[in-house]
Amino acid sequence: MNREALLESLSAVMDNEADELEVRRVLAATDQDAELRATWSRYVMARAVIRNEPVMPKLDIAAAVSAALENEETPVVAQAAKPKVSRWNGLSRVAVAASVTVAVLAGVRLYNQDSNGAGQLAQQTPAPITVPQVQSPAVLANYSEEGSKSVDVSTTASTVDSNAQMPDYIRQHAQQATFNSVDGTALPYARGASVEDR
Amino acid sequence: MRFAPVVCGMGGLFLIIQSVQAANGDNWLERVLSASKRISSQGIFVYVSNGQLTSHKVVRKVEKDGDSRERIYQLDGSPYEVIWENDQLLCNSRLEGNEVGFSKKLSRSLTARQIEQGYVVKHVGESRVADLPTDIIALVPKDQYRYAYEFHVGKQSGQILQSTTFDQKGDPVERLQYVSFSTAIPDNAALKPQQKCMPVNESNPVASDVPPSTWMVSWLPAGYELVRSQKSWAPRTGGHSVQYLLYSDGLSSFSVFVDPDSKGVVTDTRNQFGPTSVVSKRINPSNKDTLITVVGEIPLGAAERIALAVRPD
Repeated sequence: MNREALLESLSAVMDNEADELEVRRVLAATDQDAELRATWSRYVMARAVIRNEPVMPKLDIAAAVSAALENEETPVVAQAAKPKVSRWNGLSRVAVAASVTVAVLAGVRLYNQDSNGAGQLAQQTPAPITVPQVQSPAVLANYSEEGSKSVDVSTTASTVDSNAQMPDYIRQHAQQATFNSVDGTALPYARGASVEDR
Repeated sequence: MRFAPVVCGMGGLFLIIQSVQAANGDNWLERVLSASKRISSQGIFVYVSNGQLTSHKVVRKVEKDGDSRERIYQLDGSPYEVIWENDQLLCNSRLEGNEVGFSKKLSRSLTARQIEQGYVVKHVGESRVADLPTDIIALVPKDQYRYAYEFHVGKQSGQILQSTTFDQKGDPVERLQYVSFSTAIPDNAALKPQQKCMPVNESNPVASDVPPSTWMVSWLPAGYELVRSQKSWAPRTGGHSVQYLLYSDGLSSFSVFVDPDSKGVVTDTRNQFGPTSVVSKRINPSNKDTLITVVGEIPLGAAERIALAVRPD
């Protein structure tokens, strides 16, 4: 496969934008390709530097990611549900992205102790979060088509029917959040209204 | 290559933020926090989230003695109506009778200080919303555990006329925008409920004093504080009670539900509905399945990390 496409896929993995196929392609390639492995490490290091995280010198990310993917649980399909193809695509995307991130960041954590204090290691603090952060959103940005689409993609309906209380939880949160708003009541009210509509 | 622009963008924006950070912020925040409740007003706003657009009318009357009453109702789809009186929820049309819960708003005295722990507040320009001149205030998160907000604040009224929430990629996840707004004093008739609007029975006046609870979040992003805690909250659809915790950084909030005896949940879940992230994690201390669910207007990754940090006190 062409190298540029591979690097493109690697970028996507770093951005948590890769689909499952891309992740597996990158992992397969890093098995054979030392240079690609080195590139990946450089990306991770660059990100760590930007986020002011101490850099880990030699971490085999590919191995950690492969291990995480193997341990990834397969979502269970509710019997009554009619799975839509697009919905499940979205779901696997989220699941893969999370595995990759946890694997990558699990390494970072070990080298992150001096800022967090040694006590946290004992508590097994979970890995920091997923998406590479853009510090400032595009202020004055228009509500672009692309933006609203990405909202749709990330919207996955509840994946497991057995957590029957989830709608109640969401409703309770929406209600309680209105008691704690600084920006007038409109925004939390509107969120609550859209929860009730669902 | 998709990663490189992000790297450059982050570096550049970081420098910009650093330079603007000190210049302004405090007064804008104070203005937003204090202004909106003091004046009578009426307006119509639209709200976009999760691919849905809805429209709502808000009517607010502030008496000379400071008493205020506010009614918000949905103009499309199925009816929805909420009435507030002096920061107390008077009724909500979607409640069923005899529902027990909280009805009082929390104190706002800490919010400005609290918000500044999590966000950089800055004035970034001027605009126009609902035919009114506005100032644009950006609240940029200091870490990756919360969303960014952009408020368009009316120059005369201090009212937030447009509010957009951005995720960490800079994509908008929700927007609220007034299409009309005036400070005309509304008729009393406009403040009366038009449909069956049920009150909340205050569950326990001391419940909001944050009593000690058996489960706590052992790690919190800077600025988040426990604002409400209920040892035993019963879901409306029945089922056994769970422990309920509400945390807030002054602007965003998330709820934690701890179900110490969950049965039948097959796997952990992550969901996102517009700005609302929902993460469920199962842990089993002492061989009893406990289901931790975090619901909040925070990034999915933040909800995940918080869920992992919930521990017995």
